Amino acid sequence: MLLKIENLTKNFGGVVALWQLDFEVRQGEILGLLGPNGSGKTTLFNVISGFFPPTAGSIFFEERDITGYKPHRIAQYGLVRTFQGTNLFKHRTVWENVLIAHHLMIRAGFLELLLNRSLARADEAAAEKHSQEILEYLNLTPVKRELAQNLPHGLQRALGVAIALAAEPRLLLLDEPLTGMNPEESRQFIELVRGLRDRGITLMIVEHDMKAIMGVSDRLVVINFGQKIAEGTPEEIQKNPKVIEAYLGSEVW
Amino acid sequence: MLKNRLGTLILFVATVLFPLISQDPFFLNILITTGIWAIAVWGVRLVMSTGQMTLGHAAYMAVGAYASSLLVMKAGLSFWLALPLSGLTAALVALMIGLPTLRIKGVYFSIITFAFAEIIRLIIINWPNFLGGSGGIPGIPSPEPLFSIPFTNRVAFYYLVLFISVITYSVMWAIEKSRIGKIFSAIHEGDDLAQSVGVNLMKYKLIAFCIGCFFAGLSGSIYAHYFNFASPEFFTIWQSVYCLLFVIVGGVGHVLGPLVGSFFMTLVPELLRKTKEYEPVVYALILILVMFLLPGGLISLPVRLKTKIFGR
Amino acid sequence: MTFAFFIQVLVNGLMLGVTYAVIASGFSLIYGIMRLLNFAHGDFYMLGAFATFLLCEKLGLDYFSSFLLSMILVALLGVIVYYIFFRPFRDEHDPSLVIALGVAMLIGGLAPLVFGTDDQSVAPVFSGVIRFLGATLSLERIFVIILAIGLMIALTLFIKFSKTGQAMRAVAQDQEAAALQGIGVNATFVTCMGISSALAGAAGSLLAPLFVVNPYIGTHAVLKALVVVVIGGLGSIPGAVAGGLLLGFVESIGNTFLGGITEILGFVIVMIVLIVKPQGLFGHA
Repeated sequence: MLLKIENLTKNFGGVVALWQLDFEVRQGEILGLLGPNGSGKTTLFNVISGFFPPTAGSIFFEERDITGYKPHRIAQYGLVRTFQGTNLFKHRTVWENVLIAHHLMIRAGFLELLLNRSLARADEAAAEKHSQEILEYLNLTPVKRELAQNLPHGLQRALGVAIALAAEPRLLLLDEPLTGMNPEESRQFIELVRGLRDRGITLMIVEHDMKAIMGVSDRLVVINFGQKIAEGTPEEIQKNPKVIEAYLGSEVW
Repeated sequence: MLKNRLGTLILFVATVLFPLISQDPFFLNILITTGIWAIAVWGVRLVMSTGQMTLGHAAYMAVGAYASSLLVMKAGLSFWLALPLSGLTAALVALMIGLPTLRIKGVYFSIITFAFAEIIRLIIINWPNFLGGSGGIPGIPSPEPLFSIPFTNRVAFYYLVLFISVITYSVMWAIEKSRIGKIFSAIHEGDDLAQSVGVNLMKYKLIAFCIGCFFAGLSGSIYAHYFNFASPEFFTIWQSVYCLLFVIVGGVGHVLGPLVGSFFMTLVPELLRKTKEYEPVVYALILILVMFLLPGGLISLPVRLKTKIFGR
Repeated sequence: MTFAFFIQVLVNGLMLGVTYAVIASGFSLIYGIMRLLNFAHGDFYMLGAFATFLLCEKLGLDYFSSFLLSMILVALLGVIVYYIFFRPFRDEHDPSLVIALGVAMLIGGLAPLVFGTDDQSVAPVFSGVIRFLGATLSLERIFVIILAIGLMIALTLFIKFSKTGQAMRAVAQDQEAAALQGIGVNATFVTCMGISSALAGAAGSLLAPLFVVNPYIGTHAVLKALVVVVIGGLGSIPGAVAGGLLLGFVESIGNTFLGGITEILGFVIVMIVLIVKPQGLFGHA
């Protein structure tokens, strides 16, 4: 049990975005988080990754209570998220984007950072090696020298994952990765996700494109109006009357 | 790369040798004033490098100036001790203000910075007994002799300012080249993204802010002991705006930008032989021209000209 | 401290408050619709005062015509400033801020050269007093209050009910969506600039007979506007009104009893509001 959400609640002023959510993400699985638009998926993401503090409830990651932790700390513990929009260093190349992500994952002290010489050289070599590996793995090497903002959508999403991978996550949260992708790009991305799981990274994917996520998830959690309405395998979810009702009228079904 | 190093070295040598060529008080004064501004403006650039646009830098110059004056005149300290202490005082104030405010971004942060600058200025004005009030603190002594070199003449001051400027530049250059500099620019370019891979935003923004304000404090201290006078008139919002202006005119993107900007903006009003009255208009026009025609600042001029003449 | 005196302090606070509201609403309008912190706003206030001075005292025009003409002239200037300086940087956040500062410096720097640095004054329209609850109140101040309230009502009605006003609100909410709906964003910005500058000029014109007129009153005005909109909420007109009145009363009472500390208080409140609740009283995030 890698991630455990207990009784998670989030209010914004008078609006209840999340209400008493309970679920867990198991080591090595791909968990899909589904819900129609406005169901609170992105808020949940932001709360789990520390960008918003929860109003009530707890979050446990690897047995550690991370409730209320700041985003950078959660990332340092191995829980890394991607972003819905294209959150990249737009004016840098693909290579620079991934490399700088390594530079940012520093545990060294201030003076070390300022004066580092030989430490830097060894670190830099390791960072470059790791960046190269990540780019190769995600098939981004051909566009290594391209500016991030010039990439097509699908590759920008892949770059977002590449940056997250630099942080060596044990749990990777993907925030609506398929939005704006054509079917071919989606297919490739799903393959990528499978590959990541095979390499030992647990994944939680927030999506509202049902079909794609059904195919790749081991389990699913469905939320609506900030509450959990169903949890189970894709087969169970597909037959769940509450889920069908929530998505009624929606094209994706 | 080599050209840059060579260029900087030439610049350095030239500045060191300058007083041997000319000891004209007019030119020396320009260079000293340039240095005083540059030290503070380098600080502004550092703060801006984390994406926080500060419109209240003069507050920290004021803290430095007044701390220094009081330490020397009331506590009897030597200027040489008061100088670094003023910087530290400014940095300490920056720490206290930065903690609650650096998590705020954009225009809200800018407004906070100059609200604080106004508060500092109004505190000074409303405290005539201890802080001299709107009349200021007159008769601030020049620095005591160091290694039996007197500091009552301009040449000595010139070397003092040069020395501190070189230190400031070196610190800024070192930060830029180091990992911490990369962290700063990552924060500037995408702080959500930086956080998501483990960057502690508050910590690094505070570091940039405190160091930047430290140098503002140093600048204020030197200012006070050079002009032998400190007054809240010197630390209004417009001084903060000038700090911003100078770095933009010089070129935000380059570590020598603050120096170029400070020099140009100190020189031009003098060259035009205009009185202080024309200063805001001249500065505004230069700023507007730079924003429209040369957004990279003056330091981008050589490259732009080269491209225009030789093509790319 | 007599009751009569207290009434006078209150009325003074009301007068300051509504004029602050007028200045601040213009400022807030620009921020809400154009996402621009128009530092030159104070200069428009100052130019409104000077225009009224020149028209009234130098050209001998009557006050009301001067008032209207000043508003129109400043509005025109606002539009010109928009086209020359603001429009090119419309979509860039930091550069807009810088260019606004530049324009503020330019106009603020030219004014002493053009108008001279001496204090000027404009003759009040009404020279009498009335007695109210034992207090002696100058008719001129009452007049300013009434006119300022009138301006605010006109502004509110305009924004609520006119087509342009609705366009402005749409652009303020979501510029892209408004553009997709066919709303001319540029035209909206121009109107916004014009109205905002007119309001600033009107405030300057209103206060010209009561306070000194010199080239430096602009900085003071824009600082006040900033305090008001922070308290009331950047982008909110009701906020500008609430904040303006609040500041007006606080200042009137504060200046009477506390003296110089009052100004510091204003800025301390600004900092606290921005740290605790940046949207202010009525603002949207």
